[in-house]
Amino acid sequence: MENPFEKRATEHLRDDVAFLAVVTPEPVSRFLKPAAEAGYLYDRLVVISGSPGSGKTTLGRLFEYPSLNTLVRLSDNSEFRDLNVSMTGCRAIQGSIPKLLGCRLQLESDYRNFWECPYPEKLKTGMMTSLLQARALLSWLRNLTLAGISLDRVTIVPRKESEAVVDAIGGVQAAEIQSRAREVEAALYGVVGALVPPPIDQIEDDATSAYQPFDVIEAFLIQRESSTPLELRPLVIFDDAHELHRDQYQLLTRWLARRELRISRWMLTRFDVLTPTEALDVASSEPIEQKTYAGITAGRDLVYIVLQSSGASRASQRRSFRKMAKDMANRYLRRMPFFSELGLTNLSSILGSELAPASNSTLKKMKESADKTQDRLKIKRERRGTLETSVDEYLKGVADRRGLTPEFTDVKYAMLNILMHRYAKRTKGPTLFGDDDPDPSRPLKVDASVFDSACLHLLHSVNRPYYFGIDRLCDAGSENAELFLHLTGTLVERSATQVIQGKNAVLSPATQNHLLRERASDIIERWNFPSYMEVRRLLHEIGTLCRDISMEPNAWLAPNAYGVSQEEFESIASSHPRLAFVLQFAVAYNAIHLNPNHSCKGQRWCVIELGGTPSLRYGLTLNRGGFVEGGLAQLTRFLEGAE
Amino acid sequence: MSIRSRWEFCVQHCEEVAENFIREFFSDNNRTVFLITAAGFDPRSCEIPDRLLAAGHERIHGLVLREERLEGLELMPLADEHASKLTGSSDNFVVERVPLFADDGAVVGGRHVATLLSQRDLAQYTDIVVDFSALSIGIAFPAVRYLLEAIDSGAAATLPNLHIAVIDEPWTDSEIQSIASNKAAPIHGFSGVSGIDRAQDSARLWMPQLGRGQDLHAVLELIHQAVRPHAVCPILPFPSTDIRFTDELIWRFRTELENTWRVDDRDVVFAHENQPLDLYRSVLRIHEVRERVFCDVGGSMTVLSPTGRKMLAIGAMLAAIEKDFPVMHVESVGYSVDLDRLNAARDGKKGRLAHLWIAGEAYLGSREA
Repeated sequence: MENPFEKRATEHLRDDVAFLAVVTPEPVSRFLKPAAEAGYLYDRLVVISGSPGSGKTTLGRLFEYPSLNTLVRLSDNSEFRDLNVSMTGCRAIQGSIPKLLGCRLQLESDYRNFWECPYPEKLKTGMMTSLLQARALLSWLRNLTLAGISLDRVTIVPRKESEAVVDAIGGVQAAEIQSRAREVEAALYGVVGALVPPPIDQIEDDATSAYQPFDVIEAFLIQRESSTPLELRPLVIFDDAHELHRDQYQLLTRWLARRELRISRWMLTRFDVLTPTEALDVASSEPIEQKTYAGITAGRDLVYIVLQSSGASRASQRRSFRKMAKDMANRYLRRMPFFSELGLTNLSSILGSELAPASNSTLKKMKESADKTQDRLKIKRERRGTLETSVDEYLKGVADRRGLTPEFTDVKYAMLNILMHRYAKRTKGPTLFGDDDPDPSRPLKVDASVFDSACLHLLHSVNRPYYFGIDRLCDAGSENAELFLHLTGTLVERSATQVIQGKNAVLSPATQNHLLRERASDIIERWNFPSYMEVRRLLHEIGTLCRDISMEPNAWLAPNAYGVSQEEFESIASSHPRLAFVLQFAVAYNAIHLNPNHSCKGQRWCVIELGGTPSLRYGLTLNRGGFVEGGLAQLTRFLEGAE
Repeated sequence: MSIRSRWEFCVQHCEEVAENFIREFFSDNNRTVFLITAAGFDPRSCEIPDRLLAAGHERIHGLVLREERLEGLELMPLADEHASKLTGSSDNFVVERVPLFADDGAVVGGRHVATLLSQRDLAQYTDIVVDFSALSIGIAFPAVRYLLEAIDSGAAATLPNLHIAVIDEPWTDSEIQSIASNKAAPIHGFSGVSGIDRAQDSARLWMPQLGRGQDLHAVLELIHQAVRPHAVCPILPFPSTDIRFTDELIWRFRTELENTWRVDDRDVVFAHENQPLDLYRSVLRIHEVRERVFCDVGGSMTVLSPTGRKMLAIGAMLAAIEKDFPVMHVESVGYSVDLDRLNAARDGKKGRLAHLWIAGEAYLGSREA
């Protein structure tokens, strides 16, 4: 049975209708619409950064002309209505007409290879930009052809200032422009693909002569039979810009940021291409400084859009990701006839949430443990009774909110244990006056954090399921679409197996918990990016430390992060360059997330949060907030495995 | 195949016949040999050089390549030892360091080795031998292609012979775990026409070699995403010395075969594990059939990924050179080896020498025809 969750469906779906059917509109509205409404999505260079699997390429493909054209054609179909609305909100569609002629170019090794040729920088840059322009032109024209538009109906609208140099790109007719672009492409490909680059004096003229269509073209004009010509604004999307050499990336950015260009241009990139400091800046909630290059002003000339939550609105952005993830999962599920025929088109419906009650022997052991704790800490029966009443009230509230009658006796004992230890910490034993039931220095609160910590304790002590339900699954995705799909895929696969075996499609919490942790470990074991072994070591040390602290009897903290003082972190590139290098890739590949300038106990911290997969692997909370305090020196020792 | 392929009647030898050939052929005092080999941690680094030096000592000129990677630095002392042994064996052996990666992680090794070779005067040699035993394919493939093109473009009177030699030890290969980088790209000189606009209309067939590498799933996924094939024909080694190997691979890659790649049972290519020309012929045959089918609708493009055994990789290379197929690859940033286990795996076993003569005197008749 084909499982679209396992195969990065958006990249494998050639058919535009099938592709659009699985694209959720949420990221378009969340990340691009504000820029479109503010008027700077198409008139200047836009750099969109994100970790692998964050949806950059999907967004890029959405803005390609074949996708837009198909979406317009399907505007009456309710399945695509939300997406249509989002794209209209982004000014890509207007009144059921596409406004953009988008193409997407993968910046593969060809372009990077120019940098290894033994030529002056100016020549190498010129060759690279010529090849990019030739391919962009060919891609635009190809996209029109794929949409059924014959090239004899297509002309370009040159910029007023460039009419004199139109001939250099082949004229205004599409067929001639295409022919010229092919000549240029072939000549440059011959240089970059050669085993040994030719000497400068032997390079073909077509590869070195001036070729600047981006400076010439303002729009494309499509002649239509029974209506006015359609004018399309060209949009070129350079995907995987991080593949370029750092110097190339800067030169390309500078070249594309020029205000005189009329075409719209985006660059999609990971954080690899930046220096560790830049990468960590861009990935952080609040950039330490807005990185620009000489002659370029961020905002006026280029705009950064980061595909992850940042800033004060992280909580709402997390909710937004949950909404997007659920929508995406449901769309994928609908693509599986196996489930749609059973009427199972909502992921939540196959994720059970009713826990099996703990066994009597487990409950007995837990009660005995609570009794022993009470004896050891010399807590009065009345005090224990008060704590138990508070716990019971809290758990009743939880049950009422969930509309279920769950079995929480095991959680009750675990919460009681925690509270008794907290009480002991806050009273420091009997007083001089013989009052052996003193009040704690601070009131003991019975709240969600105690409940969550108790559940974590039970996860580790008796393997009580913790990771189950749609919200936990979404949070485990670390706001990364691909990671979420990979985790979900394993659950969907098991559900299908259960149905084939004649069982219920619904997965028990225990099954979900087991599968998610297993899949997370598998993902980490299969990591394959620069410095992945060091990243793994780092996560192991931090994960183990966080787990040990989470398991302390009074559960004073349930961390899933490591905090370094903000001041120390700002010097990481110079003081600990290897660590900065490793962290850059850990961020780039979604192993960790950075949250700088986080205020806690009167200090500013840069918090290194573990992603969903290490949190699952080490049995940590998926909630945000708690972190272990440390420093760069300790992190470096973690890297070396010396701790 | 209806049209004769270049290496249809390739001169090849293996095991004892290859040993005898090398001993006799290179003992001819009229021969001056240029050997390209690698000095790495691989225990086979010195085996082919030793055989050649035994046959024709002063007449063997060696270019010993030290492939420099980003990780696995703990294996450097062993590589240093092998390099010292080789340079100590003959004054005519020089070591050249070849960085596989630029400072930003881009793969540049193939380009470096082509440039190195372009600085050599090949006309002074009668024979050129490329030792595949310890060379990675990212270096060996561009080296062979450069040498072949240089020979093909030269005058017939000064045509050196080009040989490929390899010590095949599957048990050794199994103990060497590569640490793959995270980028798929064509091997240098093997882009084919994949990047050209016109080629976008072609029906793309991808033929990955399946093998035992620990990170092969991730590697094949990277390549699959880069190639975006219309069809996949995986290559499985059969017959194989391990008779269950094929079954093991089918089980190991079942998700890819059934789900991601959607491979029909009839689309699996079985190629003799020890016969590179078997795969070479199969690939060309498949390509020829597809060309006829797709000629009026944009043509067919075959993309190869020699991610399995080295013997099969040689067959893939020959097909790629002949038809200018793209070869997509993920370079290794390093290797992880338990040397004790490796030595134990090799203990008591003898590697299998294979030799292919791919250009030169043996083909003069066909070249002139």
